[in-house]
Amino acid sequence: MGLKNLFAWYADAETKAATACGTACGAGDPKPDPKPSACGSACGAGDGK
Amino acid sequence: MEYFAFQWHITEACDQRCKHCYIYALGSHAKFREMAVEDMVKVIGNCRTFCKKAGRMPYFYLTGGDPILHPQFWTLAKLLRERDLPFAILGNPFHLSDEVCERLAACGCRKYQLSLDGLRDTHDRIRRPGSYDETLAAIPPLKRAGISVAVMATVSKWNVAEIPSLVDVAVEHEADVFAFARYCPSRADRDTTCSPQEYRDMMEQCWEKFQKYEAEGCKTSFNLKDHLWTLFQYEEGLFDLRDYPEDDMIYGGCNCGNCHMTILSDGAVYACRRMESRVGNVLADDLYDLFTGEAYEAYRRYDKFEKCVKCELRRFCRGCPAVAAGYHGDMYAADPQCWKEV
Repeated sequence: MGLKNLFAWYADAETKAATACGTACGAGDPKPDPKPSACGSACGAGDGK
Repeated sequence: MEYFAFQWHITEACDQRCKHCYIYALGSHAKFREMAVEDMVKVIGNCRTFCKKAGRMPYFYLTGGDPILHPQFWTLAKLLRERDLPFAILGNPFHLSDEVCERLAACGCRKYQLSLDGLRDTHDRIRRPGSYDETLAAIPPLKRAGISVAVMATVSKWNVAEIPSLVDVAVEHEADVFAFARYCPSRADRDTTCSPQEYRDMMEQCWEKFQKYEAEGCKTSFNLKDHLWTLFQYEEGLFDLRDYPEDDMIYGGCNCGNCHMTILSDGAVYACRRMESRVGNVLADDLYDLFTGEAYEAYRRYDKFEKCVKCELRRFCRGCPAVAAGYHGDMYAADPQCWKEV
């Protein structure tokens, strides 16, 4: 299994964006979503809340 | 078009020495590593090229250390502004006057993430004396400048009992976002981790507060960052597997190897900053080739998760592989806080 199994990589995205887990939220409008962002971030990339 | 997030550690300089920091855990530093401006330009170019190939929009999370301590921080902010590249900052509260916050906003900073690791005594013990009050004091100038404020907690046995109270603090101080993630232990300090039941109990208390505040129209968003929230919600009947029909498709869970990457101050590219996961160097490698190549695929072996392969939530959860890596020495081992019996 690998990249080819990642839904987010291939699907037409709606709003989901992510961050690493250091981020609290992910990128996206308006309410923050966990992705995309790394886990150090509380939220993901995006505008608004 | 979706964003792709780059967690970019531009410097190791910091005026805290947090007990759980993965940088200072490596020993004392005679010299902080920081990236040179000419390399920053290369990083931005490589990231933009990657995003063009991947059909994504770049979003930078500038961090460190404290990124604002980089002597060329404002030069970098200007480079991002000139290229219309949005960014957030994961940083400390110590240098955020109204003037600085306004300047950040003018450069395109959209969010600033602060850390709260407990109530005052606990937080200050983990971070530094006075840090708790300075963190809360930084929220108003950021908000006055129009910058969204996220508050994040790193959870361990040191502070798990206080996390539900931090929800109240975040709401009281009008943080825009609240979330928590777990400390990644090493095998030498496994005793800093919570038991699965302790962790679940804390999540339950937080969940009750989230529901209560949301019902009251609270403006703080509670981000369910830890992937064990998927397990929690599944058990609460809030998550329906039937909405996701494809058995081999990974719909959620850890986003390592999916929609973010980490770049360190020497250019090293990590699949996940929370574990040893070096895959290349942004100053030498094409990021798209790295991301789609074998080095990265090693972090996408979704059929190798020892416990999760037996769980119906494998496509959505998988816990935190970085915590498993720290605790067991293997990212595919069981998440030590996963309470599900399979």
